[in-house]
Amino acid sequence: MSDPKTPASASPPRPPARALGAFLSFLVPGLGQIVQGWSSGNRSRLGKGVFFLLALYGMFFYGMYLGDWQNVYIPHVQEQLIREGRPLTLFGVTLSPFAGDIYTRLQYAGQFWIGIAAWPALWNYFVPETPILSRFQASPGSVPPGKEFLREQSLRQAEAEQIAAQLAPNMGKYWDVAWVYTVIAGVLNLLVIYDAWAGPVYRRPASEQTQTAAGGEDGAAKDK
Amino acid sequence: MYLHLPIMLILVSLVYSATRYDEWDLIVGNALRGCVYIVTFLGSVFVVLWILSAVVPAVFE
Repeated sequence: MSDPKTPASASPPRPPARALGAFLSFLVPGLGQIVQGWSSGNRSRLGKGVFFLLALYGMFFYGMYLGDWQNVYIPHVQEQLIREGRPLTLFGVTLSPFAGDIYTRLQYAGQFWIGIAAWPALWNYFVPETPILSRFQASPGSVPPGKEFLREQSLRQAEAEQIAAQLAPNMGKYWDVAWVYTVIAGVLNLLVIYDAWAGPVYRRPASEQTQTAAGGEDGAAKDK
Repeated sequence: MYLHLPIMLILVSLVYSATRYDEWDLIVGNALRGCVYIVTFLGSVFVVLWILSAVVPAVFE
């Protein structure tokens, strides 16, 4: 989608605090650009950060809302399959529990990059004994250690809840639209993180910069 | 239902374009071009599928 007519000429200047910016943009979309814009007085970059924040969080949470808040999670499926003696494999190799669980819910691999907003799913997956935020991003099949016999029941209950949500009269095809929104938001944040690290790919052509500057000077002269 | 497509199209184009440029006029201009590219591509796919599903069977019947 880049414009081939736009000269990439000299590399644009690197943004300040690159590593910190990239890390902050991973935590919260656009936060890195906001900090970079604020610290350098670059209002355009600050505005970009606010736009990233609103657009990506808007997409992510709207997708969750459309999906009845049930489409961001990591299930404990592989553990149950291992218990039943039929684990998931990839190219003949048995997947580890975590890899198998992500494999059964690949959407989370995209949703993860939205940052903090997708962390409750990780917490509820890794710390089953103390789940947070009630049913928000709850991990199906997540049971306290020593109570693995309850896993199958938990998975069946979660499956029944998901089927009920998908069959709700007002759901229809929104179920798929919903998770697509959340995944696209997460994947787009990868680009935002890279922008915070490396800065914009292109900058205004030098000729246009000169014209803009000249226009500004003319305007200033007229004001005088 | 179908309103979700243009909303996503606009947001994806703007976010992608905003990671290419820092100036808002360039961002919006590039996003508009991106929208046109995506609509053209999706429209082409739609036309091909429509021909295969509606026109071709009618011709050979």
